[in-house]
Amino acid sequence: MMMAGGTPNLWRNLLVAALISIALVSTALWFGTEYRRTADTTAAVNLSFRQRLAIESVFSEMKDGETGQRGYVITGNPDFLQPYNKALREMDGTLANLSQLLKNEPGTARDLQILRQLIDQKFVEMKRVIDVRQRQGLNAAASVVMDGRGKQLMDALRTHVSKMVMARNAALAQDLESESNRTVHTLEIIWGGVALASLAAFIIAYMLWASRRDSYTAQRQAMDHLTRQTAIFKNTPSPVILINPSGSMEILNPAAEHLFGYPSTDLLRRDISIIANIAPGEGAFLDRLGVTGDHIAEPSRPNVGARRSDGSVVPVDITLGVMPLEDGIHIVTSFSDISEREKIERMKDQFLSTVSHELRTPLTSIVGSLGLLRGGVAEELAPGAQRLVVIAESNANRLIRIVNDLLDVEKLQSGQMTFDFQPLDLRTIVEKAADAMRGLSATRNIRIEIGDNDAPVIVRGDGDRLIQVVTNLVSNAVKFSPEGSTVSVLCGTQGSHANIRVADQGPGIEPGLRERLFTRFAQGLGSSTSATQGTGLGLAISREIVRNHGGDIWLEDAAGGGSVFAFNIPLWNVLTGQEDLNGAPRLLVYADAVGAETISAGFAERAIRADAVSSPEAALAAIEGRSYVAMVLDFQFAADDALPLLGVIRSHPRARNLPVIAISSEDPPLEAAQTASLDIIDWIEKPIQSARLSDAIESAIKRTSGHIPLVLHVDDDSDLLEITAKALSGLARIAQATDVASARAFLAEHRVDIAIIDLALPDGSGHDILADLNARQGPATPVIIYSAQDGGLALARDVEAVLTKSKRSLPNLVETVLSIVERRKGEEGL
Amino acid sequence: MTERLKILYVDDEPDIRIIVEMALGLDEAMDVKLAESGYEGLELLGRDGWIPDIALIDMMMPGMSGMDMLGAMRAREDVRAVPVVFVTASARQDDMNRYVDAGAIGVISKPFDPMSLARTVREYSER
Repeated sequence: MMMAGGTPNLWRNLLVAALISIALVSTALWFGTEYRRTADTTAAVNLSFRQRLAIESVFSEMKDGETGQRGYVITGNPDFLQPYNKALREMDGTLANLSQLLKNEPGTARDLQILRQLIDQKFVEMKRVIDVRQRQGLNAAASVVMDGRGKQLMDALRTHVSKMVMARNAALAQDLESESNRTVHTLEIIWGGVALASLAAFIIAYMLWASRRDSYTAQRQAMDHLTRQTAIFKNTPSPVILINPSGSMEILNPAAEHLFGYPSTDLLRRDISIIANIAPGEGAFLDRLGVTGDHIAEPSRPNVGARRSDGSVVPVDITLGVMPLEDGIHIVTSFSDISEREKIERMKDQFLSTVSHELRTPLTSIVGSLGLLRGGVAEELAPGAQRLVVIAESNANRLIRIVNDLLDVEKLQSGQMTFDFQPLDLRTIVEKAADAMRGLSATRNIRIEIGDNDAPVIVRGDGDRLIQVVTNLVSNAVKFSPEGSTVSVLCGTQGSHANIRVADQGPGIEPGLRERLFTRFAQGLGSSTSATQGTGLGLAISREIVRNHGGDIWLEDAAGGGSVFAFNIPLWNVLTGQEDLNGAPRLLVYADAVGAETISAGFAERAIRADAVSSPEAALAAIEGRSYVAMVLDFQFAADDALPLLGVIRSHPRARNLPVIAISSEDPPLEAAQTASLDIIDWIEKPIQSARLSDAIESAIKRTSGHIPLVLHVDDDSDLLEITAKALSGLARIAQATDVASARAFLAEHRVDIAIIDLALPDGSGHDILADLNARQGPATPVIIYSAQDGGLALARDVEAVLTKSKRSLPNLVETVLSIVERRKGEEGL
Repeated sequence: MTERLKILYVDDEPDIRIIVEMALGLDEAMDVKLAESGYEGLELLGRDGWIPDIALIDMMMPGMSGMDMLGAMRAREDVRAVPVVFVTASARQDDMNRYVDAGAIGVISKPFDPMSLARTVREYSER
């Protein structure tokens, strides 16, 4: 099952994730930079504070010094000089500290220099006043103080310090101002970052949601799908069983439980063969079932007996379907209970049989009475009454034909019609059918003409049924032909098929009718009297019969109006006893029943048919009736008869070259010379190894077909063709042609070993065929001219012999063929 | 000079009995006895020493079928050898084969041509 939104796009999602990561990392870097900047600002404010503190502490120390100096001046007590001394002592350090704090501030060096000068001057003034007090006493010192010099210096110092502090304040304010701006910017950036992060979060959330939604949709669809399928599975009236790759039942639907009478739990994990043996044999279940890939060889298994829980068997049609899953091919097995259908079939059969009987009984009385009336048994009828009786009788007969035909159609279509297949000449069938129709055609002055080519056309068929087909076609043709016209029947061959064509000069078949012409009751309108009226079933029956013979029937347009109904049937090769030349080869097995079965098992899988015989008489009879590719001889079974048997067989012309495969549990009890003369091609020890037997048969087949030359006999005298074929039977395979055209057609497709050619042919001269043969590549084909024309002709390069019909008898011809065969064998070293 | 041919015809359909009697009457050298059931047919057989040359028996009759009657005849010493031809309205070839397998010498299928029935029966009797 597919996901609703298809497979998620990995690259798109990775790209989005990468972009979001880049954005977040950039933001983080930004924040880092901004944080560092804020830290710088804090350091700058701290520095500025310490600078101002240092500046003010200079002034403060000076004030403390001045205050102490004033106290000494007033009191004369030296203790008051302690702050002054401290200031004097520490001022250098304080100033150095201040200078250190201000060293990076532009424009402060001069301020610092002025401060130093003012401090030095103040210390000088204070020292002078202290000296005066010590030496000259309070009043002298007071007058020095009174001159205001100290106060001036102190004011200048205060003013300067104040200025310096203000300068620091201004510098700080400026820093803070720019810092404040930067902070606003930083905030903007932060808000941007937050917005970006939110957006990213939103996108991620959306993607998650979308992904969840898709998977939810897919899940819901899958659930819906499953619910739907489950509902169908559970509610279908057809029993269905799913089988796993090992042949065990996995799921049964209620209909299956119902049909087979088991609760599904009783069957789960059990082998399907409990219900029906759908995969007989050995090996893996799927192999036995005929599964290759996800294809199953025979999906339909009609009319299988399925076992129910109570042991009864129910007839079912089984349909197998392949379900490829992850863990292997599973099989969907659906059953269709056909017991009802079979019952109905039986009822229909019974019904038809009853109807047939119930209709026939009164019809027997009617037809019988009318027949006797017409025959004058009661008394001679007046002409008018006679005519009416004839009408009534013919209609009653028609009713009987309809009943018969209906039964025929039913039987044919249900396969209940049995056929007696025998090799037969289709030409005689045609003649018989035409004879049967002559009465009818004579009343309408219609001539039935059978094609002039009268070579036998051998097929394997049921004579009565084929007469029924040809009669039907001819009678249709007669019925629909205008009075005085001709119905022609052609019997010939076309490739590997016999071909019969019945042509009339009637109005033809209207196009609308053609489609359903071969279905029941498809008769055209306006057919003639009741005496000739058909049942509308003839063509349907004919088609079924022809199909049962492996052929087909169809309608063609006749040149110049009218219609041609044609059918074909595969040709039968009398020599090989096979359909055409390419049928299955046949083996003659001389053994007892058990031995024959063992031997047949060796080639059971190959298209080889075997006839088992267990007496020399039966072996000879079989060889008389058929051609075999080889004989398999059980020496143990034949015992002392083996050698005489081989001798007798070799004396039969058909078995002269028959390869023999001997089977024995001991070493050949024969001398090497005997073996050679008996032409035993292989000894196979018991127990038989089937591969070895198979190989021996294979080589026998090759040898046989190599040994028997293909002779093309071209002559317009069909008797001569037949006689020659009989004379050469067992020595050669014979292909026959009665005119130049068919000979050339045959030569175009086959390589013949010998050609026997009559020079005077209905559609030209045998010389034309010679020309074809001479134009061939490869070794020249030996040709025997067997003609009524005398020799002395300018003949082609490779004519072996020229035999004149009037002078040379048939044995001469056979002799000539034999000598060519022998010579060729010698040449090929066979 | 043809010998007179003694025939037993057994059929439950009165109309067909009449027609068969008339049809066989066309051959003046035939003596026909009719029976309307297998039981009656078996009674007629051998009565007063009358043994027919051939018995024509309808296959589908109520009570005793033609096949039953054939069986009964085969069990009786006196009529065991009487050749039996079944008359049937069935058109099934396999039915016909079955009848012949059961021991009938032939099957005449209904409806038959009344004008040639006598000839057909005589042909069977001559086999």
